[in-house]
Amino acid sequence: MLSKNKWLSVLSVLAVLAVLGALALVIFYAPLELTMGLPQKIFYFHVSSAWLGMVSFFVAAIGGILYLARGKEVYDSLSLAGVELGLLFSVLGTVTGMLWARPVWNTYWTWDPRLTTMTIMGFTYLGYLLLRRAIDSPTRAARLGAIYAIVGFVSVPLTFFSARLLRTIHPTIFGNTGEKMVMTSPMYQTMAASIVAFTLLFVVLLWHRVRLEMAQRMLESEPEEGTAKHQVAKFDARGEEQ
Amino acid sequence: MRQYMASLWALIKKDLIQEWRSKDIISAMLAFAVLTLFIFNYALSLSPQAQASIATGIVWVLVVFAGTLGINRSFSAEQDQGCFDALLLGSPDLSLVYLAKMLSNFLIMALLALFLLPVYSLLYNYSLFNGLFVGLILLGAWAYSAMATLLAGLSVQTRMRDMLLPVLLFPLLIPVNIAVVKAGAGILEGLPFADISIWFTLLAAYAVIITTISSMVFEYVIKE
Amino acid sequence: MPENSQYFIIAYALIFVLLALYVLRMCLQARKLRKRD
Repeated sequence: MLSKNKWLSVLSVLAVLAVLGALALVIFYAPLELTMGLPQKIFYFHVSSAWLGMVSFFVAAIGGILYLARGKEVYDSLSLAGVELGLLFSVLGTVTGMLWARPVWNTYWTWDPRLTTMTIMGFTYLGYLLLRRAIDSPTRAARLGAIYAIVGFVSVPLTFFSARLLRTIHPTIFGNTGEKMVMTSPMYQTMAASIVAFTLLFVVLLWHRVRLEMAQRMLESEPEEGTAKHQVAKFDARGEEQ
Repeated sequence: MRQYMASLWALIKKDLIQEWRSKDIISAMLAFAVLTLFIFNYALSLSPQAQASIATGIVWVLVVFAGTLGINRSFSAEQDQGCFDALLLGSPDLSLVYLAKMLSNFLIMALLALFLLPVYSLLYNYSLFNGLFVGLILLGAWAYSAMATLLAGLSVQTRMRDMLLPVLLFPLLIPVNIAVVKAGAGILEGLPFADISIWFTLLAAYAVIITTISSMVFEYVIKE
Repeated sequence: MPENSQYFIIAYALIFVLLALYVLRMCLQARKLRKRD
């Protein structure tokens, strides 16, 4: 059922190489930042994860809109895959953010608007998955999921904006996390490389996941030979012929 | 247009009459809110200075939680009695159904909030009677209603029913919570309106955006 | 080793572990599909 796709295989290998390459850049090429030391290097993959968390949400929302408009299952699979990956990257982004914050600003959690928004996005993804799991009918699950994905996506800029507004009004209470890092050219290059590598990885994972989901659904819709479902189907067909 | 408004009004009346006859939802919400206010007294020690910043938070949190009780109930009646189908057959324009539900939910929430204000003022000896403050709460109730009504329509169709609504709602409600609490604190502290107007704008934007999207999308919520 | 290196190590290790777990999950799902085919 799952035939090999040459393009996908090539891209998969490329993605893995790209990520490993980016890692090498992070470890060996990027310089140590003046004040923050080694933990600062977490930042490269942290920002990449966060970026992809955002992109995933966009993909999930687009999938939702297309599914409601056109009704084709592949759009729903796209939406679902987007949410799963989005959860993955949001969690990674949040956790790496915390691991960066602790040594640098001496606290695991800062009410930084980006970190806060990303965590809330993670909860939204979780809600989406719970919603789908709690619905028996697959078409209804797809439809309601699509609505939640759309509304969830729309609320992200509103959430971010309100969190940011909150911070500009109370900057001192939450600690001085606004200090800029001194960024040099090799750091920008490493950052760019990480983002590109992660985006490539995201596309590959998305593609794999959608193929897997579609194959699963197609298999589930055909009753297998010899199973009870198949025999019932044959029996019903016979009844209709008469 | 007139037809639209007439149908809208008819639907709202239906929901409200149903509710008034049973009085279930409103009584439960009011009881919940007042009792929780009592609990808060033991949980938090509220000095007069702290009141300004905390009062809004307490009132709004109560509105949010009691709201989930009320809004859930408003949809489960439909589901249990099979009225979804009746709505589908009767109304040509399903955005109407959403607006009617949202407005009746809003009215219930507004009633709850307006009831809470004097009760809070009484129990904590801190007056919340401020026109702008009331306006803020009503605006927040609209924003809340817009989102919660849509999501209740989703959650009521799941096996988990009521329990899923908070999980779905709370992450998406964060902008509303922040705006209401911050603006409220500002009002009670006597800040000039220019300082807090941005929160009002945010709330209004949220309410309008969510109402619009929900109206457009609602047909997909209830169609079979 | 520079100080505070444990954060760096844990962060990157976590990234690779979680990504690998997700890929593993997909592989297992694919294998289940192939068995049924």
